[in-house]
Amino acid sequence: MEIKKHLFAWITICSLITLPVFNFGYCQSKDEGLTICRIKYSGGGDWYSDPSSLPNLLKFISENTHVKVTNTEARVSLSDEDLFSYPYLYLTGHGNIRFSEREVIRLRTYLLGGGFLHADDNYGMDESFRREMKRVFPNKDWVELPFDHPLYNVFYKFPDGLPKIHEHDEKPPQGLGLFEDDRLILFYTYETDLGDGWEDTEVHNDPIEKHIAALKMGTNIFLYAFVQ
Amino acid sequence: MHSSSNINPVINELTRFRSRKIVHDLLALAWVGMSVFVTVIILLLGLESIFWFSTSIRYNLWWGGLLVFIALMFISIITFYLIINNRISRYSFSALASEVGKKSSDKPDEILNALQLASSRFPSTSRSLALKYVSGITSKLQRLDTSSIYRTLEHKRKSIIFAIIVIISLLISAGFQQQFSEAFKHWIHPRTNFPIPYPFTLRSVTGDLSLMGGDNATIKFNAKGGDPEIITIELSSPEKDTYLTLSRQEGGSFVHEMEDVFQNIHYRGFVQSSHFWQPWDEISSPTYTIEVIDRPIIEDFVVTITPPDYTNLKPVVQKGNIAEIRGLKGSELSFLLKVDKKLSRAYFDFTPLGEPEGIDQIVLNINGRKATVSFLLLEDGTLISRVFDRRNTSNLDPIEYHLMVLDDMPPGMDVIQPETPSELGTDFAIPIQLHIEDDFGFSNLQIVYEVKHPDYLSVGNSPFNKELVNIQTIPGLSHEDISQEVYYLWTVEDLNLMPEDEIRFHFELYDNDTVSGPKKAVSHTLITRFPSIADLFARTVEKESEVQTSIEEMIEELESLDQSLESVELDLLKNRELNWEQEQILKKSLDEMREKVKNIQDLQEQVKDIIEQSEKHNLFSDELLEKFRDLNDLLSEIITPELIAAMEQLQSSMEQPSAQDLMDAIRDLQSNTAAMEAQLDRFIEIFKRIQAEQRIDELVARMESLVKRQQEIVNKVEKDELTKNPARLIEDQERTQQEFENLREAMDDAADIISEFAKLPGQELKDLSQSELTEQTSHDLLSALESLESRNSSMASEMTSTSLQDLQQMVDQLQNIQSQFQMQTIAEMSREFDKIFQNTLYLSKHQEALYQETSELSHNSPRLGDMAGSQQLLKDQLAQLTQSVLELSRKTFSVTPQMGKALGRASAGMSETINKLENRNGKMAARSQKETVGALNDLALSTLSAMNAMQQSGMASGFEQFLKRMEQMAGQQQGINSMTFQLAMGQMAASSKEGMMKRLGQEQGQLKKSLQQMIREMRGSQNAGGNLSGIVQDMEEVIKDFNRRRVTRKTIDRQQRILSRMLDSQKSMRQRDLSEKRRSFTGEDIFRTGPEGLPEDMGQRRNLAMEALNLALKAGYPRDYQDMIRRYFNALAQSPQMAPEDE
Repeated sequence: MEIKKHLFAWITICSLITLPVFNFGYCQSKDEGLTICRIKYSGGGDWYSDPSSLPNLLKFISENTHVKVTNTEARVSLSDEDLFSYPYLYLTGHGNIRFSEREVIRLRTYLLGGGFLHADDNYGMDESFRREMKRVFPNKDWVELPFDHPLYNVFYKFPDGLPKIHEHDEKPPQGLGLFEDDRLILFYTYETDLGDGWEDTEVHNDPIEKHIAALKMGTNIFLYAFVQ
Repeated sequence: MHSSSNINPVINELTRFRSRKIVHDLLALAWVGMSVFVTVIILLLGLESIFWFSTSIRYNLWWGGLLVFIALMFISIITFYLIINNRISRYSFSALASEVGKKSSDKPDEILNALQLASSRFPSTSRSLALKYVSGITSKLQRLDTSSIYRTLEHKRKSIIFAIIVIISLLISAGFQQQFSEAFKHWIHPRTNFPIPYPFTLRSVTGDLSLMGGDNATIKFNAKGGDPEIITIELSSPEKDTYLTLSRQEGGSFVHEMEDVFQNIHYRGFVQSSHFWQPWDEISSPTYTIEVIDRPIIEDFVVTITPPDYTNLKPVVQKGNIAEIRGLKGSELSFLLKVDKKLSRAYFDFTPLGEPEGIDQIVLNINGRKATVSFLLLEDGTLISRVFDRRNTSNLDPIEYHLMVLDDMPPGMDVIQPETPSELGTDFAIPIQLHIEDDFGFSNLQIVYEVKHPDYLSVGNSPFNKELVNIQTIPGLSHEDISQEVYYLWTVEDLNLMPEDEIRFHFELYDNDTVSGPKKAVSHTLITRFPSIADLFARTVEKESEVQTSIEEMIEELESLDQSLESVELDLLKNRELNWEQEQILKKSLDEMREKVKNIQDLQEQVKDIIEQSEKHNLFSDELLEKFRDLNDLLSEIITPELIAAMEQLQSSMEQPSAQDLMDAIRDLQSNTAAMEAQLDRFIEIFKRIQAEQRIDELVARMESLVKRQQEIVNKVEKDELTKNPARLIEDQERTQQEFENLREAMDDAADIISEFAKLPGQELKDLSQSELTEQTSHDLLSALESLESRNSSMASEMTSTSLQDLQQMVDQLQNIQSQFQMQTIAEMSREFDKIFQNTLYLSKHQEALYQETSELSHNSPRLGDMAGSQQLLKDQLAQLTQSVLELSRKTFSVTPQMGKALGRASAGMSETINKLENRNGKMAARSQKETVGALNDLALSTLSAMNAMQQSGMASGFEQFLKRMEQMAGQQQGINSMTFQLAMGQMAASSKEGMMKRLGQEQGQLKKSLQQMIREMRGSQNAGGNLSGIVQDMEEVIKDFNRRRVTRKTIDRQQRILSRMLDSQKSMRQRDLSEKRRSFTGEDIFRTGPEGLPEDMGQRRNLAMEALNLALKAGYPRDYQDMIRRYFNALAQSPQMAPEDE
């Protein structure tokens, strides 16, 4: 009888301990809100680079705006069926990017259908990225956004345009866009490396101001994509 | 009354004479008067007979004559009175006295004297004398006879004249008795109008006419009583009077034709007198009337053309002044006629084109003065409207309207993508881009296709050899957009294509014509081929050999060019002047150089093409692709700015020939072409190496493809496809078997190529091609084919599985050889780098020592010369080092420009040092030596960095490739584990157990080798992770178990452990990658003025040609113009200048 009592007590105590843990885990595993979806591509480039960048950016958006976002990024390739479930895509890398014909058509459909893509040159993808985008939109040219564009002013003010986070080829940073009618469907940040700026500070040891500037710019891009 | 007559006797006597004179004069006057009278009478009669005076003239003349008579009477009375009163001088007594005196006496004045005497009342002086005289004269006068003075014979002449006049008058009267008597009658009846006798009369035979408006009329006149040659007719209408002259025709009539008489006309005919003596001015017919009866007139004619519904075109209203009515077939024509009179009936006469006899009558609906009708326009023809008023009078000359049916143009289609022939990529998708246009819209767009198999497949009754045509509709077609781009990705994965199959297809586009039926446009036939991997590689190799041949030819041509330049340079040295022949050589050389520059650019395009095709079909690994890209970059670096400048320099030196400048320019160009040649040599060397690597990649890829295909065959056999679809299975196995045989040959060829760069892997490849495994695989594949052909399911299952395992082993072997080749190459390069590194350190050390020595020497030290000698020695060694670096650069891209720059600085430093030492300038020499040491240290660092980078890249891009290989090995291990489990559970037949164990042992052994290889590669690398060595040990134990034919629980546990560790190592690699710090440099903010604003077009390039075409088509031009416009723009779009350029 005593053994049974002890056993019952242990079971109760264990349950009481583990239940919140499960609940916590369950709550933690719920990831609701908007998210940023990283594009997986072939061609050899490292689509997965700057792994801490997007989680940091999402955290910054969550803490500094009222927008509900997830904790982690999503990942999808252009040929995946759930591509169209993500309104905001992100693409980066250092190397070659190559889209298959099917991916070209899907990306075109996605962007013309209302989706948004932010591409950030991590240094090395510029040539192949521009080449692939020319396949997606042969009749569109890159347009550099003026500094008074709403994207640079939607939440934080950037009167001088993109912040220069990392040095690539000693050129000024450029924010280039592709438009469909008046809607900005793709924003390409070149010669700035915002992704590196979003990473954990100990990865690149940049000054904290650069880190914050990159996160603020990322917030602007994210918010603008949804409010335009 | 003069009283003197009583007193004056002369006067008394003279009175007698006066009376006589008066009578005398009266007589004379009478004769004259009567003559005149008769003459006047005759004249009047004659004139009247000629001129037929009017009553007014006659009457007036009568009155005139009467007045004259009265006047004469009055004059006579007055004259008489005046005579009596002696007021007329002719009858004055004095005149008489004179006259009588003259005629009766010799003294003419005596009577006059007497008269004067008598009149003067006798003067007092001689009154008696006067009286006597006067009485004498008076007596004389009394005695004188008056007839002697005034003789009647004087009147004789007058009477004769009178008589003559009378006679003449009588004669005239007699000659024209009738006329004179008629004239007389006219004169005695002055107020009576006597009709002029016309010589003839004119009369219209036609008379009054009534006719319809627009009818013709003929007027005919006849002359009665005469035959005038011409008459004049007068036509009077309300607007004008017209006079026409008619000549007499045969029959004596005068005829005039009038056409299209629309107005009332009054007409008469007349002849005007032609001579003045004709009593009549004009002989005229009566005035007649032509009365026109009005026809109904169509005042308004409106047609509304309503195109068929499918065109979505708006109706067009057209007025009747346009005689052409055009519309699309099936258009509804609605007519509205308004007439000036009320209608009784109306209809159209429609005559179809080409059928003049086939007139159809289309009756119109009448409503008062309006008529309407509607019908469909289905054929060409002419339309004439006929309307009738209540009197049944119809309209005249209705307008003939031409109905023209416009054809709905067939649709047009341009196939922009795919090109033909094209190849399917690994995604089995054919991107389709079409430009389609039509005048009104579309109903359907489809692909019609058939799959054609290669000829070598066994024919038999295979359904796959029957050509079946299939149709697939392309979705997303907009039915309304008349000009649109169609994008569609046609996935043909479910067509179960095999390599070398072709899809032959074309596009069919239908418009939306619901009247005549949709018209079709058919594109040309396109062919897309599913290339076999062997084909793809063969094509790539072909392109590569073209590139190689071009480069080798270019090198030869550069050598020949160099010789030409050298010969010109030598001639210039001798002659210091350029002759024509040399000038031509230089010009030709320059042209050839320009050609080379263009050729290099063409070669870049070819290499780019190879890269793109390889990417599309996943032929090469990423590393190999990277090497091809590096090759392409090398080509772009061959054309340096210095080369271009040298060419320009030579060109300008030729234009202003100075011998020295020319020679300098030639030397400059020579050195640049030598550099170009060196780069091309380097290209060829590296290219050959890459090609060797590519051959191995090709073998691995093709073998992996065979494994995949064989796996599919195994799966199909397990699903009992042999019963359902044996022919397909047999064909698949036949292809696989054929491809393996091809691969065997390819392995042999590749072995020779690879041996040139890496002997051991080459030998291993050769051994593999002749190995038992290869023979076994070939045999097993053949057996599998035979078992399938004999429909033996169990045998087929076994043999196909066995073949699969054989192929998997072949893949493993090839992958090992591939790794070995890579590692050997890298090892060789590493050794070279190491040597260079060591030599550089040596040089740096000795240079530093020399620097120390030199800096301690004084200015004039005699040892400066020795220093120079030592420095020269080091310089020679540096030259050797440079040569080593150059040779290494021909093998790998890892030799960086930084190394070259450091070498250059070191060499320059050493030269400078020697120079300074020779000039006994120790201090400056020491400074140069210090710079040289720095350059050598930089060279050492660059060499080390390049070596590390090469090793990193050689190990299959580090992280990602490691993961990929580990993933592959984990998959293989999983397969081995699964088979081992089946063995352990006794799920296999006893007869196959032993064979299976042997095979599993071999596979595990292969896997162990691969893992060991990877461990060797990862040694020293930052990417190494996981307890890979522990895995190897476990593998060895498993192999032992298989060799002992003892598979136990422990064996299975070990295999599980192996797999877990493999998976763990992948995980640890990922985590390690996450924490890796990258080298990056914080950027400095750049402040600048950004762009002014967004462009108007927002970067969206408009297809101006297409927009212009659409604008022109909507401008409302007629259909045939639209067709011309469309053809013009299509030709414009297809011209080369219009082809879009990629940025």
